[in-house]
Amino acid sequence: MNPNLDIERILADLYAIDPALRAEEEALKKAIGELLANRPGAKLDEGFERELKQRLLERFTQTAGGGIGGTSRLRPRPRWLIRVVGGLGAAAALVVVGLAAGSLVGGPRYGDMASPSVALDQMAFGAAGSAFASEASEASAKSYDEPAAAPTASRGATGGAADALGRIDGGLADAAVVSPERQIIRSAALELEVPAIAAARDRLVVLARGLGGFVSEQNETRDYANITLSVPQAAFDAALEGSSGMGSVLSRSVSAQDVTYQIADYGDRIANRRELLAVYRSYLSNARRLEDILEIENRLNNLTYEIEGLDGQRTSLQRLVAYSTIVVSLRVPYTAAVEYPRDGLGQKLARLFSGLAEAAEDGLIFLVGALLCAVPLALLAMGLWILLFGRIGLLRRAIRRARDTLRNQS
Amino acid sequence: MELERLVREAVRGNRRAFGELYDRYAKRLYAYLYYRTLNRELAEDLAAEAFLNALEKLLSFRPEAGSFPAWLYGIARHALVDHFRGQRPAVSLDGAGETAGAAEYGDVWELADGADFTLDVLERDRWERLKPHLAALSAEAREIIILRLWDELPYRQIAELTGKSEAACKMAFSRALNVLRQSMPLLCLVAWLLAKPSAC
Repeated sequence: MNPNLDIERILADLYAIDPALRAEEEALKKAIGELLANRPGAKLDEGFERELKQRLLERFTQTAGGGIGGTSRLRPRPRWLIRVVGGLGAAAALVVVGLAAGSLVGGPRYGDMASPSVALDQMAFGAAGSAFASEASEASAKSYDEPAAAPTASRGATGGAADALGRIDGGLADAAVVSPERQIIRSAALELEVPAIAAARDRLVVLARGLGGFVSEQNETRDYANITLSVPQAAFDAALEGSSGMGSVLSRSVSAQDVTYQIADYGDRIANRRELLAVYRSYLSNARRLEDILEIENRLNNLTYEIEGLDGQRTSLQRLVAYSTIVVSLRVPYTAAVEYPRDGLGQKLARLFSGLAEAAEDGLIFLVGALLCAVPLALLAMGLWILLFGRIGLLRRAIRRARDTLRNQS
Repeated sequence: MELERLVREAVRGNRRAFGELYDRYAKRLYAYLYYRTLNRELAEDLAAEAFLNALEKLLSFRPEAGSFPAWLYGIARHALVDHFRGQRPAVSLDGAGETAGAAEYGDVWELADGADFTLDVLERDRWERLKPHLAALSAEAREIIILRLWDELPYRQIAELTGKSEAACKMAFSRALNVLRQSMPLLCLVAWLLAKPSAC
């Protein structure tokens, strides 16, 4: 937001009402600036925003889906369709009542002629019977026109007509309204004590592959291993049971995270942006001015980038749903872990000779090193000796000269 | 998708359209509530309540009666007023004339200093600084100032929300601003110019 621009716009509105206010422009600017500068910092927490949306959409689906009946309480139906279906319901109820009456006087039996759907309609209309059926359908129509009225009323006597509407009207099958299949990320962690790490690890690998999965991560030492299995969600329980049976279970935890609405939300946002993308493309094909074209292309790029990002996030979640993970920690029993095999005499002798050889090798290296250092030092010391006391004997001569001088003086 | 179509689709039971409407208005509605409560948790609670009410009343929305944003803000305002109705202290006799209008606009700016309520720590300073000036306005004038400057609503929507004409809203805004211009101390203005509002 450009505060200066905002202030100018606000002032323009004011001057349009009262041009005399121009005389107070500076003071007004300062007052507006003060209020804008002190606007409280309202930042909606992203986590809260997401969670609220999820809950609202859940509620929306329940409300719009009408619960078990699947009838939309939000969606107003065309009046003509309601009347037609209401009329059909009424006619069906009349037929059923007529048949029932006929059966009492020896006419064809109900079961001989009435179809199951007719029976359903009759049950739906219930005690209201055929005499009220047409009124009920009218009331149903009214309830759509006056939605503020208690919605449950329309699901009472008119419930049958409304449910029939729900089945007939293909709009109710709208994927956006129907409650989506639950999308659950399942995961588990197991800690097992096994007699041998390698054998248990191999069996886990075979188990995962046999169930259509794979090992996605593996860390292993001599007495401990951490193995992550990724298996198709349908095989999660089998994988968990199979893994648990490979040793003594020290700990086990299973978790499930419902991401149904997160995935649906991504889908909605992607679809909305794709629609917008189509609109922008149509604008682009009609645009003539260069700046318009550039602006639209810029928006198209941004939208494409957003769609790719959302799609990536959705795919990532879908992968997590499709493949469950089981982290299996393997360990050998404590006593087995500390008992190392004992060496025989041959191995001990071999270790002794190996140690001696290493010591000899180290000594030789020391000698060579010492020689390399000692030779230059010895040469330096010899040179100094010759210079001071030997053939040149600077120091020796100086001492002798001093001694002679002292002797002469005495 | 344009707003009218989104609303129409949401009313028809399209979950995606409702989700898009939520995306468009969640932050704005929260900000509307936050400016009037200065408390994050309370604003979140009221925003949730407002959206839930909006969902429940979606069928009662009539485009011919007003725009969707005004309808939504109206629901939020009701949630706010309901909340502050319980917070407002007993009305003094000398303020009786004012409270008839004030009862319509519940917000933190008109609560008494001693009233028992919670503000975010960072906002308390701002509240104490601005309150003498904003509280000096009538509730209606303050609401128009906040709607225009903080919520950034156009006069058309302000008019719908307050039930007045656009011209009346502009006039009320102009008068309120004039009052603020006179009441705001010079120190605040200097501080603002120096970008140090805490000095006020």
